[in-house]
Amino acid sequence: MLGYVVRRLLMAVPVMGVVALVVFSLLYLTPGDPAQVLAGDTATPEQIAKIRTSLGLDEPPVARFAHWLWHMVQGDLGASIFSGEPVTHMIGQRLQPTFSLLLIAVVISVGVGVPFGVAAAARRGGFYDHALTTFTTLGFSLPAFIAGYGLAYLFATTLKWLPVQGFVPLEQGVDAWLRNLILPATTLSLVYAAIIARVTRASMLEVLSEDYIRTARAKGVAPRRILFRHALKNAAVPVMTVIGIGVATLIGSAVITENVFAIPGIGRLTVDAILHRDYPIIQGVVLLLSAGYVLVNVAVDLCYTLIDPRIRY
Amino acid sequence: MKRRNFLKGASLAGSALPFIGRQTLAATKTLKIIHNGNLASLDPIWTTAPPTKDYAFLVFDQLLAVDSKYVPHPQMAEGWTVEDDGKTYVLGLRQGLKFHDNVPVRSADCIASIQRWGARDGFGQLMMKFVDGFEAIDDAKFKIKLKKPFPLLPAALGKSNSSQCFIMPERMAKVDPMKQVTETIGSGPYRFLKEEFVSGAKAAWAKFDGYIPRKEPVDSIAGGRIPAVDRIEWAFISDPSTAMAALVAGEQDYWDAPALDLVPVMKADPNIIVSPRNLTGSYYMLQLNHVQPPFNNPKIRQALAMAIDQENFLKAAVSDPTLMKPCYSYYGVDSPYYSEQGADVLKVKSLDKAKAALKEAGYGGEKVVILGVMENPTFAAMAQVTEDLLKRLGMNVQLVAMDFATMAQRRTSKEPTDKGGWSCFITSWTGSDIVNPAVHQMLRAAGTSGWFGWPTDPEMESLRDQWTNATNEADQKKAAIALQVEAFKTLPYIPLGSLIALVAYRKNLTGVWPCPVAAYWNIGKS
Repeated sequence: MLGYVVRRLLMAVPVMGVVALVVFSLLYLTPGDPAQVLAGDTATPEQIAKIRTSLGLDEPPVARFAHWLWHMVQGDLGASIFSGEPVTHMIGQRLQPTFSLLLIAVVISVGVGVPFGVAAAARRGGFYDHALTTFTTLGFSLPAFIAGYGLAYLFATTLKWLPVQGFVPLEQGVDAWLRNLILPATTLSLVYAAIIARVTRASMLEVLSEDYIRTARAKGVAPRRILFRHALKNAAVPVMTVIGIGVATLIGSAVITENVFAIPGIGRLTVDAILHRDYPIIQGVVLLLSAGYVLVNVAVDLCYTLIDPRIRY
Repeated sequence: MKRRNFLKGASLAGSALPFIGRQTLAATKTLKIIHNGNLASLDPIWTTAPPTKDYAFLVFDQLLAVDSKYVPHPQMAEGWTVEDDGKTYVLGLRQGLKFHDNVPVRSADCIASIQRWGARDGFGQLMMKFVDGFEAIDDAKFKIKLKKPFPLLPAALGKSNSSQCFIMPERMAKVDPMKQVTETIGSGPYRFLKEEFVSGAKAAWAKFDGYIPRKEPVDSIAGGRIPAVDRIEWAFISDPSTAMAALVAGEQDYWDAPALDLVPVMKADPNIIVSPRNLTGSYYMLQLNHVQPPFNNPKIRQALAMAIDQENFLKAAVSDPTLMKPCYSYYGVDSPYYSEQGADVLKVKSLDKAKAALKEAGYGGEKVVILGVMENPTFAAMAQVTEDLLKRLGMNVQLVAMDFATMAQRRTSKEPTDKGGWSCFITSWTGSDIVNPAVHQMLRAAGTSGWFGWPTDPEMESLRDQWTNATNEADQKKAAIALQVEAFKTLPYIPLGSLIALVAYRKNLTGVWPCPVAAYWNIGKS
């Protein structure tokens, strides 16, 4: 097992190297000049050239890439072109809001999606099944920014139960942290819960038609025990796969949700960096996300062994 | 201890923590501001980005500051005297001024700060051409020696448009002006709380107890800068609907740039005040490329100007007529040089006459590429109006949509349009940016070394020099207006009129005064 984990992590290194190269190349080809942006409208061409030189933007792209790569392997992702702050520090400041949002969104999605899918499969064609169809249709078709505005209007502006925007760090109290995350996490989890519910339902229906389930029923095992002990456990592998893929997808969706609810997370940092062509931040964030994606996949693979003892690495 | 009791105790302790926090905050008057921009750099000399300027007005102070009529007054200075037939200015500092690290402000700090600012700012660079040297008489008094009289010196030191001459400690001011300062020590009314700063997300300031405001009432950026709350927080909320909801819900107190389409909703709320604050307005311009066809032809530029009806451009951006101000001048309407002399071409407003003039000018179907910055709703709307107008004129038009960073790079190209060049773009400056020829970057015609568009007109440059060297107000005005008349012949850009920007804030705020910059001193909270 340990050998498998180490192998998977080592395999991630060339993947991230390719990601780094692709991102750097794309940024190099993208029009836009940070020196122009930060010099402002009153700057002369000479001043812009000086700023470009001071930032190292006039070096050949290969030299810039080599320079960045050399520092990156030493754990130094460089500094923001605009603020001068280390990229690792800036990303570090944004990790808690994004991870908090993702955590609550995953909890809501799994907490809603799995029981909903199980209930719909247990009574195929019944009330829960129809309700699930409605819920998943809404979840898939409602854009995050529409759902976010709707929820904020109802629960924050009209009922005043929850705050409209912002993030409160966990250190300032669990209740304030949670209150600020409920609406954005619910918005974010709509699609995700819908996917999980759909996959759970399909997987459960397949398992429920297996011979051993029929045998269990014939032996008089309680329906609830059949559902949760026998069927769900065997249906869990595809559900776990979807949860894993979903976590990675959520990171992308978080960009919109963070914007709607003014959460100072990785998503907003990325958008601002792209708008300003703050290359070191974009490169740092993409590397972090690709590393996160690899880690999530390794974690999902390991979870398979917990759910299904037949799976061994 | 039993597990249940332990959990109960931990739970109570956990719920008490935020309560304690709230008690502390309740005793602190905090002004919460929704700021649209992204505060990235903390050096107002290194960048002219508006959020950095707004940050700087809280943290730093100025030696002099202009009032609403652009008349300079002492700010950190006790006053100034002019000696040696206008060739020496002696400035004295007010007593008790100190930086946020409690070190007194000295002449050496002021001299180094002026030198750093003078290396970057346009007006500062102009002033430095006249400066022969600086001399610290003592820690509270210094001289600026000039090669020849420069009566605009106080206006330059006290100007309200970016970048302003902010005073920093000497060690900060000695940093290469092409590199950012890393410290945030100023002598302004609020201390920056760097440990709470999350670039692009959150910034906070605390009242500087050592600040001594002037006694005079505030007037524009002159007068007393009173820290009226204990703490100021900025939240960078880029989504307008979220910003409005936060203001209406009372989570935030002030919104510096409300989306115009949301204004009616906020006006309907009795707890919200929506009003203009920057009365100088934002002036919109159609910048033309003078080095490539078709706008390298002055007759084609004149034909285009004849077709333009400023109201069509302004109406595309706002629906409220009280927020629109057509302006047939190269100076803002509150400038001492405002005049409509020479502006006849802008009052033609006739498509038929423009078409005839375009034909006569020999337009041969050259492609017109409009750089449209779509992330700014006003720029986007005006770019589309331009596209429509040029098409109706019979021109071969392409509107290229892009973000600001792309436009900022592409506008540097002097190449033809089929090789990545451009023909025109919409831009805007505040009224204080176009108040006089020194600060007005677009009223230049120095050719390829000038601003994007690169108009060439030696007569315009000569008239600007005449204005700079004029020793009295009458001569200055005469030269400034002659410069405008000449500009309407050359058309370095075509003025599109001005829009009044609004701010929105909760009714319990006090002391919000008309100001050309987003300054937050004097604003209290009842």
